[in-house]
Amino acid sequence: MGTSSNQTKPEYHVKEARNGSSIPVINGVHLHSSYDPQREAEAFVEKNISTLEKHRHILLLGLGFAYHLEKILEALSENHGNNFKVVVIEPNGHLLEEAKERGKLPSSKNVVYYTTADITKLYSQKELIEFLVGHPGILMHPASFNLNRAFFESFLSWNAKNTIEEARELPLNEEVQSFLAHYQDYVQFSELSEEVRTSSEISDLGHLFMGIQNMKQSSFNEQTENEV
Amino acid sequence: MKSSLIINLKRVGDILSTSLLASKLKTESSDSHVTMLVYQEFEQTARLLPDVDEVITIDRKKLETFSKSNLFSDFYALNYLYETLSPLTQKRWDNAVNISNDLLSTRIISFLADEVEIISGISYGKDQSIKASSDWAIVYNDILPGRLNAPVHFQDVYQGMTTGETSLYEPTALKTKSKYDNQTATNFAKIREAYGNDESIRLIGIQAKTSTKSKDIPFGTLVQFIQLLKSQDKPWIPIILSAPTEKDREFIHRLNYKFDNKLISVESDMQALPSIVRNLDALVTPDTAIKHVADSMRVPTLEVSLGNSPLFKQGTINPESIILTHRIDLRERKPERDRHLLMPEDLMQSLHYLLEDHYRPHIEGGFTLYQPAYDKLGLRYVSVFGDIKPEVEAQRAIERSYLGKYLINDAQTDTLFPSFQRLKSEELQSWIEQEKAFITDASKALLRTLRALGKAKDPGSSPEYIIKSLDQLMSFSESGHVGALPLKVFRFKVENFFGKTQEENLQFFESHLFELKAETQSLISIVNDFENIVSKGRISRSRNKETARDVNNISTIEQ
Repeated sequence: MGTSSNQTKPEYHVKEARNGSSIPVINGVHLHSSYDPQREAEAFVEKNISTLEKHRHILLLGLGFAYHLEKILEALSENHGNNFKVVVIEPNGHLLEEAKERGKLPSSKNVVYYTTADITKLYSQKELIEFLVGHPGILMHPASFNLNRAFFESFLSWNAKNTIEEARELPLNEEVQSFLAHYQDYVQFSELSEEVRTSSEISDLGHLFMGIQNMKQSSFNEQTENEV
Repeated sequence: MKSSLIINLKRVGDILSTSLLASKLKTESSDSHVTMLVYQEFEQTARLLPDVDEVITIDRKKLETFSKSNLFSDFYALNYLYETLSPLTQKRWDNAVNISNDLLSTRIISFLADEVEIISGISYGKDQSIKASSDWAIVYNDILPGRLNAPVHFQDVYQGMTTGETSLYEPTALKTKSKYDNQTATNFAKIREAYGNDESIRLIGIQAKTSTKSKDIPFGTLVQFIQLLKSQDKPWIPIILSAPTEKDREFIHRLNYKFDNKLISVESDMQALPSIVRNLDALVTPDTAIKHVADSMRVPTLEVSLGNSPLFKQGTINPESIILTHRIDLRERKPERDRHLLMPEDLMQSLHYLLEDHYRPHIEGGFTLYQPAYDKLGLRYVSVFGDIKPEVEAQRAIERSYLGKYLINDAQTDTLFPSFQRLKSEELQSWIEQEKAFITDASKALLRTLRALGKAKDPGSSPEYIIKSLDQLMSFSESGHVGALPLKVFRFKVENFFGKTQEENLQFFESHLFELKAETQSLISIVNDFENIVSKGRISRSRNKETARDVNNISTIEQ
């Protein structure tokens, strides 16, 4: 489980759908079909089947009461055996607790939940970073996404600050942190490049830093053709 | 145990090309251990090399995503690279070789420098100056990149900068899996059986496509070539080779349609490829990685070198193979347009030459056949048939001779120049005059710089004049003339020297200006030898076999 939300609790209640399933309603928004949430979840998976066939790793934006998650897991299992992973991002921590209490969360060990509205914190989670950098397939649960549009859009278009100050909060190796400790907090990665490049004595990690800087500025084709 | 690390952040072909170097390092002592650092997507290729004991990988896509996507802090990229490479810092390396020579691999070898006994290639010092481990490394970094018609092959540069020796054709076969060996042997035996197990049957592999369209044999030419192959009396059977990709499958489908779906085609990944290639009698391929597989498996190859590929740096290394290319001065000027002039008959003629002793092919104008040959500087390419531009060939020969003198103290003029006697022409003489004029101008600039240096030593003198003279001198290094070669080496040394005092700088300039003077004199002597041989025929008649072949070939070209 991830960290819990510290945002103000929205207006929340649970309603029973026509088929008897419970569904959460937040600020008047029904997060699942008020007729048949399971059927709606099946339709959601059908619509997104090509993503589920193509990707073993899925980033799911929005949990609700996890009806869609259950169907997603079935599809992944069918396509990839047990070799898959789903990461769920849900800004409303209360929703996760409620779904858990009501026994709605699938028991699969292949699912990880992150429940915080603090995007900086999300991008400081080492496991989540490792997952995201592998280019997972992205599925958005429509009702949850619309309810938290600002949050999810901000998450998907995040712009890392790239300052040393921010880097100090990241889960970086001790040696890397020690390298950064020589520089001022306000310095950006790009500004640091100039400092490292022009320093009269470069450290071992300074070489790697310059290597990354070179990589940022060229494509693989250019790299393989550029001599020193 | 002797531990060697080869840093090779390039692609499939470049990794296969490192096989000879790995073998050389492996056989240096009985307990040698060779590790190769490659990008993860090429791990499977690196594992085919028989003398590479361990493969370490960098996930390039992950590193690029960390460093280029706005989502992630750039510091994650640094963290990932550090954590990936830190196992390499946990041991001592007797030798580390910077093969890929790009900015990242040079930073990586510099990062590891404290753990390495001998670095081969280019690296950065603690003061960030660029260090070359040897003259070979300078040639690799500063001369070859500016030379489309490179006078030395990468194969020799890799070995030269690592061991000081040049290469011979002594490949060790790539690793194969018995299941692929057995499967291929069985299937190919069936094909031979279907043709009556005649001894004259030849299974000719034809690589369908490359990843770069400009390198591909045009579709129409390929179809006609296969038609010619199938229509002749000899049982030469085309086997079309392709990669397991949708694009290749689509291509094979289109090609096979032209032959009523009766073509034999084989789809394979890198792991199965060596087993398939070793069961062929010959290979016809555009310039792509399969030619390196064929070189390792000693399968004679017709390499069809189109587009802008670096023909003389990375061509086939098997002396039994040949390369068909546009005349090299045409390659430089308009490769795209001329690509379509490749005739199926040229391919067929070249194939006959590859497979039949004493066959004399007729190659159309605008195309040349080259063949690898080995001399004291390693691998070179000899024009054996077709159309050549004497001036371009002369430049390759003189540059090779100069680099031979510079690198191994042997200009090999007796080997490299005699074939040009038959190419005597006004154009060639005029080219020699131009080259000599360039060297004269560069020499004048050198003398001016030496005079400026003398003045700069006077107390209270301004460094302005010497700086200006040096700039003028170094501007000659940008040129494509043969006379630029010594200047390129000089420039590298000057640009990477940071003296602490003016006196130290002046001493450095002085010693290297005199070194440049000596190198220029050496080049002048080589150009004079060339001119004498071409215009006056002053050459010893005792020639080795290769040279004799050169002469024969040139005579063919003239006919």
